[in-house]
Amino acid sequence: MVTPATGSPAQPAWPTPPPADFQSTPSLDELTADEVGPTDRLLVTQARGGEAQAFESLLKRYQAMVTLVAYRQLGHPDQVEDVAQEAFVKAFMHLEDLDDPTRFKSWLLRITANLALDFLRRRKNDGVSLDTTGAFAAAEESAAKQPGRGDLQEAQDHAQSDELRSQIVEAIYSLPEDYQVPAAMRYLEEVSYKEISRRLGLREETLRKRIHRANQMLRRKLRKLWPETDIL
Amino acid sequence: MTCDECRTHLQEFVDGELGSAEKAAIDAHLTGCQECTHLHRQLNKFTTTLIKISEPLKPKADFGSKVLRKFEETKAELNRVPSERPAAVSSVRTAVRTFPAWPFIAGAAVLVVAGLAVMFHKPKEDPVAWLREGAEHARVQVYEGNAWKETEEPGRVFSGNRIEALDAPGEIVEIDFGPAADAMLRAPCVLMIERNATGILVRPDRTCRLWLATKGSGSKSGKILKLLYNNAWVQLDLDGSNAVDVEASPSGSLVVSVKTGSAHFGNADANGDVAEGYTRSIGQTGKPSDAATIDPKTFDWIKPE
Repeated sequence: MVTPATGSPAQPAWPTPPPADFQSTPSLDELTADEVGPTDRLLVTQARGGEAQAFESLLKRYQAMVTLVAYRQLGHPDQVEDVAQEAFVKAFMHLEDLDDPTRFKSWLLRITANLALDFLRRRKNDGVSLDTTGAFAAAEESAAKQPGRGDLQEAQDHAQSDELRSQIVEAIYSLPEDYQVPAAMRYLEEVSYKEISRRLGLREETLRKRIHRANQMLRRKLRKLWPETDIL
Repeated sequence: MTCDECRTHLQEFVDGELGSAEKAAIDAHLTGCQECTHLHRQLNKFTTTLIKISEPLKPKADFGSKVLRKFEETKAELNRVPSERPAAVSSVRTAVRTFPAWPFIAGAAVLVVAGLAVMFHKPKEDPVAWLREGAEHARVQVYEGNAWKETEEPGRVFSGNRIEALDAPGEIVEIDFGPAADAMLRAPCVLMIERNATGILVRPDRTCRLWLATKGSGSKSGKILKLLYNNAWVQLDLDGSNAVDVEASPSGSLVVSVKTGSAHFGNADANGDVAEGYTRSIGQTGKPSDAATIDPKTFDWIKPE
């Protein structure tokens, strides 16, 4: 049955600013039917209780993603490992401060990004060049003195690899949340599908679909950046 | 094996993730299919390149053990602090004796700082929605410094964020509102999403085609999912199971076609209900029209693969 429009007054205007008290949208943990292993919430709760296995599981789950975020901020592989390790230690030391354990991942990644920025700031204040090895400048100088030597080419290749790496990292980072971590594990860590699904507590079938989809999205993103290549 | 079947499993084949029977079937198909062989070659090079270039970022085998060792050392360091505390306490006591007003000033400062922190601290809310299929065609943006900027959490939509899908006309982006509702938008579209005590508000700011569906939580929350297009609006009861196809048309009207359940609609002058199977056009003002159609031939929400 269709009720025709009446001449009654319109609904009251949408109230603004919105009070954030609508609680029917749950955390991600409760949304997926694809999970078979422990959720972040459970692992954080267990870690808070001192269970060593839970710390290890959180580490395995996010070490690739933390590395990726550290690199994204630093822009160079040097010091990435130090920042990534420090991020985990800081997160583990302050687990009690995390209000919502379902948000462990975004909290950990924020800690990582902040630590990387602190690191960059410290370096800048210390007056250290961000070309950490100085390899590029040294090679350029050497090549200028002795044209024809391969050092400059080597340095240029190195710089090009850095740029490609940054583009890959950026492309993985920009994937939707469900695809980011599996893609980081697959391409940064070279972990098998079975191991990724075990670490993430996901059904293997779900993981296979996500990797497949992540790969499609990555190729599409990188195709725009590498129009000349024959691999996409 | 067909080309489609082969391509579905080609990435797994490249990644060495198939069983021997599946692997043999793909090998056999590749022998006789040039197109799939070409794709296989591309995927192989792509995967190898990604892994090779990412090599310097590969976490070392002892990454985890180093972290856990540092963690234990840091904890142990902290546990040693209490034995050093007496010295620190005595120096504070000395300070108190020489300057009795110190604790009051310090206390007042702490209160001021705590007060400011309470006033300005805004706890981060849970997302209102998550982008699912087709998310790569959309960007989630937040309004900062007089401009919309991409958020740092791709795929998650917080209250006040907007979803912009402009670059891929015809592509569908799925939006997941948790157990409450689902939506799909068809690019091009820009959609702002808010959450408040009444429910969820979606606000297209230009011509847009949307599918909204509430899942029927079974509770009596009284919350709604509302779409507002300037003055024209349509709303669904989040407690019920309803689905509508909505077009925010270039003329400024909303065309609402109810596929399941019912919807409430209105504008500045009128409001009413529309039942399953019926379509209404709701202008910015005046009486809504029942002569509207959304042409299924142009688009029928077939999901992308």
